[in-house]
Amino acid sequence: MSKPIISVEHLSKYYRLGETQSALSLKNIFGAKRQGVSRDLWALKDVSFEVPKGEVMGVVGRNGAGKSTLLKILSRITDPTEGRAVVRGRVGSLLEVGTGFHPELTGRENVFMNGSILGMTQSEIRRKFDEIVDFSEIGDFIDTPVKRYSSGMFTRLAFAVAANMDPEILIIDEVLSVGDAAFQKKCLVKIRNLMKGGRTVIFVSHSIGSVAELCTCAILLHKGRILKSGSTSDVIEQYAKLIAQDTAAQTTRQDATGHHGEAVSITSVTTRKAGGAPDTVFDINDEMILEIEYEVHAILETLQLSVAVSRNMSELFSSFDTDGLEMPLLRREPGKYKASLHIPAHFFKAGSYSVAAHLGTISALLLDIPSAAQFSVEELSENTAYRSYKKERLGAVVCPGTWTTIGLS
Amino acid sequence: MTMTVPTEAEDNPHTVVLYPRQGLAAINLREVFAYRNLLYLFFWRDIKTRYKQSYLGVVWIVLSPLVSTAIYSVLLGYLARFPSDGLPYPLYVLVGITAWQFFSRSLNGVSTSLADQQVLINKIYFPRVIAPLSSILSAAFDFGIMLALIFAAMLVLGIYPGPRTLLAFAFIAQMALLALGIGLVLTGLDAVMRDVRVVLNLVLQVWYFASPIIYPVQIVPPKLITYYYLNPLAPLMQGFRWAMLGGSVQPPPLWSIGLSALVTLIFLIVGMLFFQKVERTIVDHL
Repeated sequence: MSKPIISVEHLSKYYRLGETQSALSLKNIFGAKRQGVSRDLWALKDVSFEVPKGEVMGVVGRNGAGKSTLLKILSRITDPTEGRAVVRGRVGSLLEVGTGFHPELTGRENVFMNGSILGMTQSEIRRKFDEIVDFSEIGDFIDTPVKRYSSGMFTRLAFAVAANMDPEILIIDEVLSVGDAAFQKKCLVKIRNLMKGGRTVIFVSHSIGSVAELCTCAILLHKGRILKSGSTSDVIEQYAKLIAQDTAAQTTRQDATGHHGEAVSITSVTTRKAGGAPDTVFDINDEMILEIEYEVHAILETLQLSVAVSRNMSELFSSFDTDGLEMPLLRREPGKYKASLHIPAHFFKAGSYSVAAHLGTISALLLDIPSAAQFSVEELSENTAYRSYKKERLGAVVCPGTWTTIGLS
Repeated sequence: MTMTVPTEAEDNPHTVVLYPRQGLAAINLREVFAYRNLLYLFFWRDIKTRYKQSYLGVVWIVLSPLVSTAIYSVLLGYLARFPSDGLPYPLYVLVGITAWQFFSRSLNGVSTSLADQQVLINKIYFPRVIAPLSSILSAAFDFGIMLALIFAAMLVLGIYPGPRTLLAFAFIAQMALLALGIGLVLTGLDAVMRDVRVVLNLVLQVWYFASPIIYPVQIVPPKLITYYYLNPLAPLMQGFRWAMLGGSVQPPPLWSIGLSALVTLIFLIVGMLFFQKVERTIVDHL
């Protein structure tokens, strides 16, 4: 049994943010009163985990959870305050797209520059140069100063350099959010290839989709501590819950009777099986009804209700109550209403879902409830082991189409 | 794509242990050597980008010292009739200004190097000392071009370099080390408080006139000359001019060179220790 390629033991990082404020700076002489707010904080507190070789570990968490601090320590940019970490391999870090790219230099010059910064030798870069240019799809622009590049080209070249440096450990932070869909796909494929070659990847992203797709394990950071670590799906589920809690706390005014805005209130959002009582657990074969009860307090000339259903933070679809109408102009008198949305059976894959509800006029959003209801779908009646809509397979929804194959010639 | 997978993680030469480093330690010179390519590239990038969009390019390097030389030649050489050890005053002052520019650019560059490279330092690991070292190389490049110009002028004026000229490089090297030592002490401070560079510029102004650059040492009153040579830069400047031009230029007293070397050494040691301590967490303060 070989040792894990990264072991992190009780790592902590303390920031004393107010420390270097000067007493005589212009800001303090002419500016507003000095705020006595101390911004000291433990950006990381007692974080421990291990990454076995060949794993792709996702790091998720909200802004300020300590993700960047963790990556900064692992890529040797700053020392921890307490604890230690052992990194057993060459690290290639891609903490921000095109770091070290100089706008005046050409793509070619920047490749050499960037490669060296990432720790490649001159001959290594020369050997990999064609591969890098090929991967980046930059073509003849390689001899153009990068200041004339589009942001997409810039990203592609930067990623190409880092991904081709053959690191044993690749640290990626939010890179894939840039670049077009096709290139993102290519990057994912590249990361998978690195994985197959025994590389270890640490992947930080806000895109739950790519974390779910790529990572073999994950950790969830919250306020500098590890809230959850383990399988990717468990961690993402926990993360989704965390987000739901946080956003629920932000709604305008919420009590036992529902969410209340000035002009409208949503009194309940429920899910039920067709012909059944309200329920939150469904089978793949169940037809489902989503019911929203709301109250209008003043005459509204153009009221629209919409719902959006998401799984693991990525939206699957949204639907408006005006979808069936020619003109989306519905006048609503004050009073109570109940709207129902029928969702056919065989639509949701197994998983946990969250419903967001919105009420608005054509020009203004009146009520926005990001996490109005939750439900889950299970594989109760059907064994999906050989089905394409098995939970682990690609694709977001079930599509039980009918196949026929006939012999030709 | 070649996939070289290490067999056993423990044998991995790239293994690093990250922990809160305490106390003083020496700069890891072996690692700096491993990153020498980056040092060269930093230097090369600096030169390349500085003149990439200018038409006159390298001409700008020589123009500023030449203009200074012209002004001093008119004001001090021609109007005020400053003595210049029997040498043409313009050449005499050009040699001084060239050495001074090398020193002040090195010192300025090293002092501001961490702050100037903060974008990179914030994102990527490399031995931080590469940044100040590349500042010295960059200043040396300008110096080299000026030196070529001086040699050309000397040949035209019939002053030929001899074996003594080699000593000029020793004096310049010591200036580089002095600038590096002081700069390494300052650069960590500068990254946190930008006041440092303002103060440094004031200090440099005083230092400029306190060293034999635009005037010969002879105009310093004899009873003050001992104090004058306490300035660690004075013997280096005087020595450089003596080694370059010879003639009736007096070499600096040996004791002052020794003292200057001692001061340089102290600054270098303190600077490296200090820098090494600062670089561990400097990004937290940028």
